[in-house]
Amino acid sequence: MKRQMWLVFAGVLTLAPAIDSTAWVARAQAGAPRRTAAVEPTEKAVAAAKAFLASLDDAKRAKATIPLTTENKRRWSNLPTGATLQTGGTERNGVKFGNMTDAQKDAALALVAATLSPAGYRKVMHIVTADEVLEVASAPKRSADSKVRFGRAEYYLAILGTPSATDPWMIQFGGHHLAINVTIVGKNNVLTPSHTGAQPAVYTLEGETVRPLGAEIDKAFALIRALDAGQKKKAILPYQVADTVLGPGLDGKVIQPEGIRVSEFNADQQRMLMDLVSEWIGILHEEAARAKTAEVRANLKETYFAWSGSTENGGRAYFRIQGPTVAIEYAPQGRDASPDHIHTFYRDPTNDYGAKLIAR
Amino acid sequence: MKSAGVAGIVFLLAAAPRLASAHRIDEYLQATRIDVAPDGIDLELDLTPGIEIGPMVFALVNRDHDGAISAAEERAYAEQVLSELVLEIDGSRRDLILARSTFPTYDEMAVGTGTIRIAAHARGGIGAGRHVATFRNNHRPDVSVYLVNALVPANPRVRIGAQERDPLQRGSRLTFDVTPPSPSAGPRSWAVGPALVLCALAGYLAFAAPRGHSHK
Repeated sequence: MKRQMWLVFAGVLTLAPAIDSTAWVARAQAGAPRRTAAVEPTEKAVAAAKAFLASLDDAKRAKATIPLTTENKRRWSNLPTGATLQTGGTERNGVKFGNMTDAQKDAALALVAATLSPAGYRKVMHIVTADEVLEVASAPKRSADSKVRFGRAEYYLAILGTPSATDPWMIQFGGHHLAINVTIVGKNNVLTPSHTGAQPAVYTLEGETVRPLGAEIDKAFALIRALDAGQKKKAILPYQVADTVLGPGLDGKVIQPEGIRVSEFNADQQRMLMDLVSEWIGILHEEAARAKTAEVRANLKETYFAWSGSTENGGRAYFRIQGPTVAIEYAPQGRDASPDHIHTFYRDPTNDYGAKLIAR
Repeated sequence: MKSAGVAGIVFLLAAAPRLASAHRIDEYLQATRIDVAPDGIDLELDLTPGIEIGPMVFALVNRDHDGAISAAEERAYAEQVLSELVLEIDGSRRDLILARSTFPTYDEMAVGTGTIRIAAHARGGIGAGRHVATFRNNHRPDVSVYLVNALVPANPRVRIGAQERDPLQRGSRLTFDVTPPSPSAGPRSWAVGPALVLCALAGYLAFAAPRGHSHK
């Protein structure tokens, strides 16, 4: 194992006792409870949203519920609390977990779990826990006047609009390296645009090594390595890509696709690509993920896969999957050869914030 | 107005641990998006100095070194950046006109999360046919990393072809096609004549024809 990786492990092992095992982690490790088939996902989300709102006092309820406006929808970021978000302001929508009681936190997490798949919920909780690791490591070195904060307490939950089984509304759960934007329009649930990230990208928790985005990384490297020389020549961009192109605040923009068309993949390679895409689509509950998967699969011929950087798993690499209804970017931050700080963005150029559904 | 203390600069540089840095460290990320339309090319630049570059960029903008950035200084820096970009269409350099810019505070730049946003327009229409646009960013190559991407054109008359870049994305070469305006996009010629006749008739009826009886 590379020396840098050992340093990461060593650092995290030292920090591990300071990371408590609360309901967050317990829920993450166990996965969210599976819903019964008899309950529609939207109904379940509505019930969980109402239960969350009922757990709040008037002041917090007023902060948690905001109008479903374009400006409010766009207020999400990869940045930590205290940094000015790309869309302005230093605070996310909603109520901060650090300001919730335990009962309110449970209700909030139940709402998040109600909208996500068990695997998606686990991924999200692992991202949050990574940020708690970062907070424990950085807090002692932080200047007294620094406004930037990491950690579990700095995640926010907001409800945009009114929870409804028929009318559009939205759930935002986010903090540093996380923006889960779930737009609900009747029976349809939409996860785009969303952001996942991790720093550190590897840590240990109660003896277990955790890689919040490990599956994405492994599947992406497996895919690029499964391409033949001719395919790699088309997929691998002959230039460095230092960061993602369409991050927060850049809604509505679509870049010209590049790389190799997935129509040039064989069946196994296409299956691997869909498996990779499932790491984003599959964050949302199974029914929504199934519908989205079918949509992306139907457009595979018009979908592109582009890569830049190392093809050795764990190396520094950027990749992008772009089709008519999907745009996924993955980019390590900084210049480390073995990145420990990752950003990803998941968009649908035709249906961010459920635009296609709301326009009907 | 954005203000900053020298002590704050020194402290931030000394105290910022790499692990705790939210984002970019020692690079100046310059991301350019190129939007091609028949009436010209728009550029959008997002310039994000890393935590170790922020104070230097702040000093570049704050030309009088008074610790505060004025609107004139913002404009001057944006113009300077634009003067260091080279955009050519079919080998002919186009002037870049500053459309708007926004600047972060010093504090935001100092922690690597502040982005300077500059929008510019390259004047001059682009006729129908195949064209080649070349772009090069010569602003602070000593500390910068670059992104440059063409946006999918909003206007269906424009179609992007090949998009090539140098290994660092400082420069790009974009081939695109512009089709002539569709006749259906404007007034149909066959409809113009009858429309004029109808207008003339309406005018006559309104002003020249005998008035109706007045009622008392």
